[in-house]
Amino acid sequence: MRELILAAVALVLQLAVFYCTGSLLMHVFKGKKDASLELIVGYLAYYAVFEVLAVPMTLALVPLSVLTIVWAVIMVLVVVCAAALLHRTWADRLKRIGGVWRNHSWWIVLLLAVIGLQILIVCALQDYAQDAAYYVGTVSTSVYTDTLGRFDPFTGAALTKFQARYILSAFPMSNAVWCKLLGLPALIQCKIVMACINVLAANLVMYQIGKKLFHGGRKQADLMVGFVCLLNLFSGTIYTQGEFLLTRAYEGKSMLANIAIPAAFFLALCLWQMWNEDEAVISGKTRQISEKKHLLPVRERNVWCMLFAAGASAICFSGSAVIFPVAVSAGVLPLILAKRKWNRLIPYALCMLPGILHAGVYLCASMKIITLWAS
Amino acid sequence: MAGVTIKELGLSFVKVCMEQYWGNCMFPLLFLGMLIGILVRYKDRTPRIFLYETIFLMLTVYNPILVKAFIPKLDFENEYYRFIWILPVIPGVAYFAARLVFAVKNRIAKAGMIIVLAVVIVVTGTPVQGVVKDFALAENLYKVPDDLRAVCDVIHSDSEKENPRVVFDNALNPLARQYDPSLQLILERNIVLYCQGSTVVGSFNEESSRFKRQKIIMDVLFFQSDEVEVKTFKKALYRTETDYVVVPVNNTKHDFVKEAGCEALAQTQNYVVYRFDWENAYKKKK
Repeated sequence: MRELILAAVALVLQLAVFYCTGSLLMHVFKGKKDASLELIVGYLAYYAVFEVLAVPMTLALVPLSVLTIVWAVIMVLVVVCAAALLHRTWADRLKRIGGVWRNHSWWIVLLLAVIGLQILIVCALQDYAQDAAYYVGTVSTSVYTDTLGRFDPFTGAALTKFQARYILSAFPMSNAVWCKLLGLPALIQCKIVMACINVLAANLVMYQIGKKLFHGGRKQADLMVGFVCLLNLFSGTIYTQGEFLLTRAYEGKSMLANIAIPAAFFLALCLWQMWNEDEAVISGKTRQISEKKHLLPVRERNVWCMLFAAGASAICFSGSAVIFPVAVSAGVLPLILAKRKWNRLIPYALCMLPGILHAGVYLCASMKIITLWAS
Repeated sequence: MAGVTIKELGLSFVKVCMEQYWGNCMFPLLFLGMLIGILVRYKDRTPRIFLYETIFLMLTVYNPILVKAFIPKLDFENEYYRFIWILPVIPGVAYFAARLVFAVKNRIAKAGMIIVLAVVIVVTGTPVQGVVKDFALAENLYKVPDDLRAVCDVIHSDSEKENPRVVFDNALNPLARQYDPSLQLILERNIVLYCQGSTVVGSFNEESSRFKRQKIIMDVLFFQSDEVEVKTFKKALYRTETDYVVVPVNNTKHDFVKEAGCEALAQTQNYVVYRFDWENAYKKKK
């Protein structure tokens, strides 16, 4: 019973942190006010920043307890700032909750039902995925030893060197921080709490993709999420995104496949729509003036920033984030070519930086140019 | 993907990966139909992103010539299938389906269309094993077998050590340290997978004493081999400083394990927990 209550508290707290982070960022960057988008933005930004903080601490052999205190302070600051700046906005949003029904009608029931079904599946499913020995074992071992990945999760023996393919992705340490903070067992944090959050995030990304494709049509987006759920349930080999989402939702690879890569697609879609809308601007003179004053319009700048954050968060999730630059390129490069927006190659190149840096460090470690000592 | 290499398949590697990735599932064909629809019919420019992205991927990471040239150099053959995650088949087909439903005005016809499309998806798809088919319900909140929790309780109530060293069977070995990180495991996960024929965990020096000892233990407990002598097994337990051996009840090697000096401590529903006093295993009894 105690673990169940702790799990519920952990779920609420982590969602609150993601939401506050996203709300704060959207407020500061004057982004669109959309609760589900704020949750996604907060989720990606959280892991992007965590990666930047946790990996150097890991390589510096800092104890888990120190990272936990530092990260807890940052989270509290973010939540307090968000609450101070946005409590009126949130109160207004709550008052206008009836608008959800007006916009969605009965389709919201479908949306909530499919998300609920997937959450039920990931919570109730007994999975025996081999990779969990790493993803969960790293968390439990780090909490037990108060270290950041310095012990082999498979055997418990002390490591002399870190493995570059694992240690550059700090996502398990985020779970370890929450376990340390709340006294939650690693299995519950990973396979219940994080699995639920990841399912929610994956579905919200699909919802946002649907809203973009249907030009703001919420009912259509709700139905699209329903079809995505059904497609995932029937996409059944061991390699597909659906398989990973439903049976391995807590693994970094699953987050890469179901959240980061679709987020890259969504952001490319945002750019595509913006550039199509820009072409539809009636006054050519207006367009010329705006292009002279600003390198990038504000809303486009926000999209590029989110793409950068998605890249950094992808590295946090999994070493397989080497494929993320391909996902960004597949989404963005054809659009740049189609619209001849050659000056967008600069922000595109900047978005590739996290992936390039990660690949560089990984290659140096693999070729033994640098050694990542664990003791 | 296990067993799929560019060396063997050459230019067919991408095709074989795609086939293995999708299995019997026909969603890529539905996606292809959608792409044709985008080309031919849709006036809205927004969905063209699916087309552009697919063309880009076909020319780059799904291009057999480029894949054959670069993927082996990047040592990414086993993980190549992850590039297929980038192809937006699922959102594409879902978008297409939702668009078909909302093209119909009448509510009853909408509902009918949803049912028809759902049936198409079910019929052309492959149910996820363990979820849609043969759903495996967790025994507890930790999502580990109740046996594992009982075994850990037995070990800790018996052991004076903070970190007892334990041999588990193939089912519990990957789970044990997720639940109880105070246990140290004798059998390394990658060596276990390697001995079971996995080609994605790298290679091992089969002549090393570390490998040999674990192989001996696995031969007895996992493969129930009759080729290993009792004294060899006992020596492997001694050299690995094993404190406990956890053996499934239906294993045929219980007498063998006892003969090697293991003392049965307790039995859970499906396992017998043996204590092995390696520190005194070769001391002569007075």
